[in-house]
Amino acid sequence: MAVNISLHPLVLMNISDQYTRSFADCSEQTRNFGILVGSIKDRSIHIQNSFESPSFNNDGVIQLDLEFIEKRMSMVLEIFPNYEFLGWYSTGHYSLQDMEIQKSLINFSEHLLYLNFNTTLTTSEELLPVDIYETHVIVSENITNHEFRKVAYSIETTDAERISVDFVSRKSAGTGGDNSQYSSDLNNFLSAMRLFKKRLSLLLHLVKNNAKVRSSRKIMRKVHEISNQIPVTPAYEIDRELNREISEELLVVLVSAMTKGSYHLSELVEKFQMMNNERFD
Amino acid sequence: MEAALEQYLILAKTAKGKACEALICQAISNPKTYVFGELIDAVQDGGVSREALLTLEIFAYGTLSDYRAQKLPELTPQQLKKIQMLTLVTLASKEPVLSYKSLLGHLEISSTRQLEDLIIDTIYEGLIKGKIDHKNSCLRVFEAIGRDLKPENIPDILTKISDYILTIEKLEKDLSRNLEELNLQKSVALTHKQQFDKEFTDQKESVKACVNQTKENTGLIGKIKKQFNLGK
Repeated sequence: MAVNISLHPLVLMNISDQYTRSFADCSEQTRNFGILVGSIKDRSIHIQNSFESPSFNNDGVIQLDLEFIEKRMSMVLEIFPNYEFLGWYSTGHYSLQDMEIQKSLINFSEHLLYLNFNTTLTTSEELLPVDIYETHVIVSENITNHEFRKVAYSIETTDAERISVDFVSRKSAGTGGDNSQYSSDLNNFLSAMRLFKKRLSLLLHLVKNNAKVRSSRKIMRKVHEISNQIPVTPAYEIDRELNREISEELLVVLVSAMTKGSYHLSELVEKFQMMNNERFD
Repeated sequence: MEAALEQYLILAKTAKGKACEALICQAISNPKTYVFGELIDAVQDGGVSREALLTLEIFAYGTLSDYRAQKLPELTPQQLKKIQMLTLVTLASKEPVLSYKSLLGHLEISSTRQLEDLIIDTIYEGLIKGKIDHKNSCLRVFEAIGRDLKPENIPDILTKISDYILTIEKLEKDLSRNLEELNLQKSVALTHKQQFDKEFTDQKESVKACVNQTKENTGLIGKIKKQFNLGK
């Protein structure tokens, strides 16, 4: 099935939030479950939101609370009529039992997606430990076998989501207390610049050492386009603007320092007076 | 963008001499072709006249003024419009803000109205991205497509990119130093504040002790103490 699956950050945040809370509660790794909702447009599936679902453990067999899910889903549909039931997710290690859960949810949607957020991985790889599966039915000799099959997905953000994710990540990074906004911004900027430099160097290396690349008109046109984007002359307008911004900022700092100073001074004078009054009484 | 040129490339494989020249003429008149690099490579040994090849090269790399500098046949209206658009692309890739005055001269257009029509067409063709600033009579360019690059100009472009990489490295170093300094200053300020706070509390304590002492000796408590000969 050739569909584009795009995962929105809210889902990841929800899942990791749920995991963190349950981890803090029991201080051990338990598996969490929930439902994925989102919209389907043409041939692309957007996993936009999720909600948690309670689960029971019946002698080692995990079951989801189907009644609860049905109720929650109707509430979700009331608010977001264009959303659909897309599938479910779990944290922790993917297990063979998961197919039973998948089968129990088949009433909600025929084509279920299963997202596994693998929290048991400890390696800090750059890739997200998230896999999305779909069910694949194999019929052989009158026995139907269900099987999970990994599907490719991409992470997509809208502008509104980017703002909230940025806010959350900044907040979690800023809990140290003595990290100023400036230094974190500067760090972001630096890493962006490093990446840009890496790409440019790669491009340069390719064009310089590969005659085949150099003889391709199409590629060279692109290279030309890129090089045209490079600002050669300093942008005086920006410089002027920046200077003004800096002086205004400094002025504000100066005024605030002065205000603070005069406040302290007046407080001191007041205390002095109080002490003097007391002495002569 | 390359797709429009494709048909001419196929024909150029077999065309020779006059046929090839006619092909070049067609290619530069087609309203959808804007790049000609591949065609230059294809007609290189097609036995075309120097004149035809030069025309094609100007359409690939040059501008309207380059065309005027050579003694070449008069352009048809379509060809004129094409070379005007391509000239605009070249100008746009050099400067981010283009005044109408200089554009009128470079493009040999007499009225602002016609110039704006040309700019709008160029933007709609996807050759440049930008905004027309009618009030200040200028065109603000965000992006321009890359035209063909003369093989002898490739090193220039590479130097430009490597220069830019050097600039980035310098900026990176400066910013890292800035960041280090910032952290250093922050820690200095922090220790300073801590010292100040400590001294402040100490002073406060001693003043308090002093005040209490005075109160004990002069105040009501002192009088009572004296009365009953206490505290001696």
